[in-house]
Amino acid sequence: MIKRSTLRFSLVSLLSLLWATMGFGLTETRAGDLRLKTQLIWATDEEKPKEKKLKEVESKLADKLRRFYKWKNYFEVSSTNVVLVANVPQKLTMSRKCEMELKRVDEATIELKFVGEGKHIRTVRQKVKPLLQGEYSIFGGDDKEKDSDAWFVVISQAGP
Amino acid sequence: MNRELQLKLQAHLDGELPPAELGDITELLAHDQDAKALYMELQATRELVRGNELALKLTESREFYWSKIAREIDRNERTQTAPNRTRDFSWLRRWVLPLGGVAALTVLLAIALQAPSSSRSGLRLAEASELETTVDDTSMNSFRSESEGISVIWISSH
Repeated sequence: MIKRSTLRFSLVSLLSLLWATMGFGLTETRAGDLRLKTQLIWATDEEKPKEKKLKEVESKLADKLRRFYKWKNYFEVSSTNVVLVANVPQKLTMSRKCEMELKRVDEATIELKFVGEGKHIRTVRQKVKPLLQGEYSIFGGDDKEKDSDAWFVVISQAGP
Repeated sequence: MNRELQLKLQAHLDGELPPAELGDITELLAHDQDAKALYMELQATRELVRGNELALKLTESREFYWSKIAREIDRNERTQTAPNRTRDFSWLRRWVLPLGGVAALTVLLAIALQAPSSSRSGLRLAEASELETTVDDTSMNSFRSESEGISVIWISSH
């Protein structure tokens, strides 16, 4: 024979666990949307132009880039926090002529579409893994307008 | 001889017999041989016990000895009353403690479920990639530095 108190305890436990499971299920769905920080960076050997409002890239990231690339200066053109929802592209303006669309195709794939003067130039589909705190995922390339310079799109974890 | 008379003989021996009954018992002892035999037996037993009783010597003072007994009695009384107090807080045992357990379980679940989701809050570039381009002479290469914590895809259009 089951005691009434035992039955009551089991019922309370079951209801609480049900509540907890439902609650965390919703959290998990929200957590499925990725909060990212994207930075567009201009790499150059030139000094910072006075007429442009550019910010120097934080030293931690700039030092990492200097270890692998030849350029002396790294300026942040723009910095945006984006919430990457599955199959919803996020538009990032790189310059007046160039735009980039970042899209999460599925759990393990992102798509980066480069658009120049309104025309599709290239699309990169990239397999991804979880990014750890303090890590950077970087896309880079030559600057078409100025051969000696380069651009970088840096993806990192968005701050709290 | 009935039990009442036996008790009266015992009371007479102990000097506890009421004066009103003393005459009857004295007369009984004078004439009843069974009563007299019992009286003498009781008297002999009393003398035997008195002469051979073991003297108990205490290792501590009398006051301390009795205070120990008093404390033990007090402790037993408190133990007997304790269940009543527990009954007063039985709701605590029935509800709060199980709910506390469930809350602790919930926190553990939260930690277990939050850990993987926080590690998914970003995208580390893996090795495999696919390029689709409308521009000729475009190439792509990638590298990763574990020590620096960076993954790079370099797109070259020359």
